[in-house]
Amino acid sequence: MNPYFFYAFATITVLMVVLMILQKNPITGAMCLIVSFFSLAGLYVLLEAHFIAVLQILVYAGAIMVLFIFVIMFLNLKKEDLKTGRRPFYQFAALIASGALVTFLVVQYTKIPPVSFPESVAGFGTVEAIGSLMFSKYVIAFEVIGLLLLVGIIGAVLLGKKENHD
Amino acid sequence: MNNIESLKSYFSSEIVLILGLVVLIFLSLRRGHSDHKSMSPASSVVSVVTLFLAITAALSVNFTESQPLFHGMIALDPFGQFFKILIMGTTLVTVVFCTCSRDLENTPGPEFMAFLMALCLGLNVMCVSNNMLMMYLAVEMASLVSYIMAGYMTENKRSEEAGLKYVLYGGLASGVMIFGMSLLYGLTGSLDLVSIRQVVINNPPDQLILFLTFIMILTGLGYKMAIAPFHMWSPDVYEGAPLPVTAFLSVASKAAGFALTLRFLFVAFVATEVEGTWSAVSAIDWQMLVAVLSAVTMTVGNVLALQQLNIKRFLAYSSIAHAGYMLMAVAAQSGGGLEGVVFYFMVYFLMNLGAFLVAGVILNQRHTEDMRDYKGLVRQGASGLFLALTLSVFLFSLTGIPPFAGFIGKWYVFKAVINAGLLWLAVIGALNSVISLYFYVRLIKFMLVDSAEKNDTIERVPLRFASLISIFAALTLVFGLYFAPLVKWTQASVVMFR
Repeated sequence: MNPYFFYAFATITVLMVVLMILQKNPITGAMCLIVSFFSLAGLYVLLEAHFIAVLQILVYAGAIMVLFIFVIMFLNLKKEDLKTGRRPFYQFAALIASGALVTFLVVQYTKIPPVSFPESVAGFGTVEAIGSLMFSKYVIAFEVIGLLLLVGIIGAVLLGKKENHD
Repeated sequence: MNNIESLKSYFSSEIVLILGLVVLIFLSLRRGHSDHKSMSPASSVVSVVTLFLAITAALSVNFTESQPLFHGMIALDPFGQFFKILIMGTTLVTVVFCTCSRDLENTPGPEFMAFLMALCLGLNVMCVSNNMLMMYLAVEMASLVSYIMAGYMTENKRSEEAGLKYVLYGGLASGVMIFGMSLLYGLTGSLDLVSIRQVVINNPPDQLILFLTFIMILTGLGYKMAIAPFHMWSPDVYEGAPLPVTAFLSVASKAAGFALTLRFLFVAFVATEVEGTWSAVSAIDWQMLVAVLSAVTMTVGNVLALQQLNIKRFLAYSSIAHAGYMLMAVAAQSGGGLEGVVFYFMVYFLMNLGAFLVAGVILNQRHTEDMRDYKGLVRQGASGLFLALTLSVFLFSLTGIPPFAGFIGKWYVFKAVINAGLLWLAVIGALNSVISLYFYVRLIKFMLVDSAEKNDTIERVPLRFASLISIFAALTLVFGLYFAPLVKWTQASVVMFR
């Protein structure tokens, strides 16, 4: 793993997530989240998990973010809805709690002995390797997922459709 | 065993269920079906035939020793076969129940049966999965369909609420469970329960993390079994769901949850077995944990049932209490305890479904779920007499009074607990039985002793209900006196754990 790439992606991920929390406007927050998803996918690539990297972009940055943004637009928030009353006590408590957590994590991090990762076998994490496992050893699980999605779709249509009473 | 071989010889009942599911979906797509009638006769017939074939297929599977199927994803053993047959039997009764239910009028018919088949399939897979991936998928499949079925009366606020509550609780529970599973995979490097056991025994990971993981997985399983403190959803869901669905969930869903939990505990987390008693792995001594959970579960179920006047809520709390009794036998960690659980489920199937069927008849005719409307039932014509007497049989059996089958079930459970040396648990169980006597007998008093406010007679009970109720009541009595065949079957069912 190239350390420069790792630090670049990791910094972007963390920065964007922090920005997302600090944003007042939910749409801007969602956009920051997308960027962090992309750089997270970059981290997966560095770990040789190419398939998961693709999934991360397709599923999270694609499908799930669209859902988020759809809901945010659906709510149609106005400017005055976004203003929250300042509560100094809670802000102070939150600051102390998160500070304590960060200190704890940093202390724990320094205690971890250095780990050398084993070299990955050729073809590890590629679509091909995962696909052949999915259709050989785990084929029964794959089929069960198929049925699960089928009944899920039918159920969603059934519960969601408007009845016409005429 | 590889995929093709497993599919060819040992998976026939699941294949039948899938085919039935597909046929039912196509039935619902027929033209001109858009008028919502309740259950269409064609879909009921298809479901009954499917289930009948599936049960025959499951019974005719022939194997000399238990073996892994589909590269170890699924286990073929008598224990799984027993629970599969129990669940398919429950589904069969539920199909008949659905054909004549007021709750399910004005809901789309054929789809409902398709969901029932899918739920049955999911629960079947739950009983036989031997791998954490399959465990999770089966739980998800069963839960997803249950959510849809609980909220099936789309024009009824309570049913909608039930569906939503079920989704929220279920989503949380399965989220916690899969988090636990991923941690367990990280700790042991395997998804297979047998390999997990090897690692936990020979090369135990950090005890605290392993314990946390265990608790997290137990949360998901406990939600499926509806044991305290994961039972919160069950009274509201049972009350809001259509009555046949409630009956189904209270028996089949619980049975699958127990089957899965037993497999998880007795395959992955036991160390040694000496003459029919196991000891837990040294890292996690789950005997005390399960014992405490069982004590809490039965106490919560019984104490809260005291207040209930709605028959569905009443039966919901009673089913929580029964889960507590069965968990007591799990805590015994012995062959006798496992037999106790299996035996109890057979008896519970009869008496609980019987009670729900009677409640269903009364709901159809009187449009009431209030137990005070059962007053004087015994004097309201021949049908009233029949219903009152059979419901009394089921309630006495649920209390565990001899000579009904419920007594034998409890006797086995208590025997196992006392043999395991958990005397305090047996005492709590006995005290709980006394509490339960009060509310079961109160309903019997309503029906047999009190007089009704209005004196109208109960109309004739539909033949399929009358025959099912009489069969169940008769079996409850017969198995209370002559239970040797059941004992034989239970012993054969748990043999592979030894």
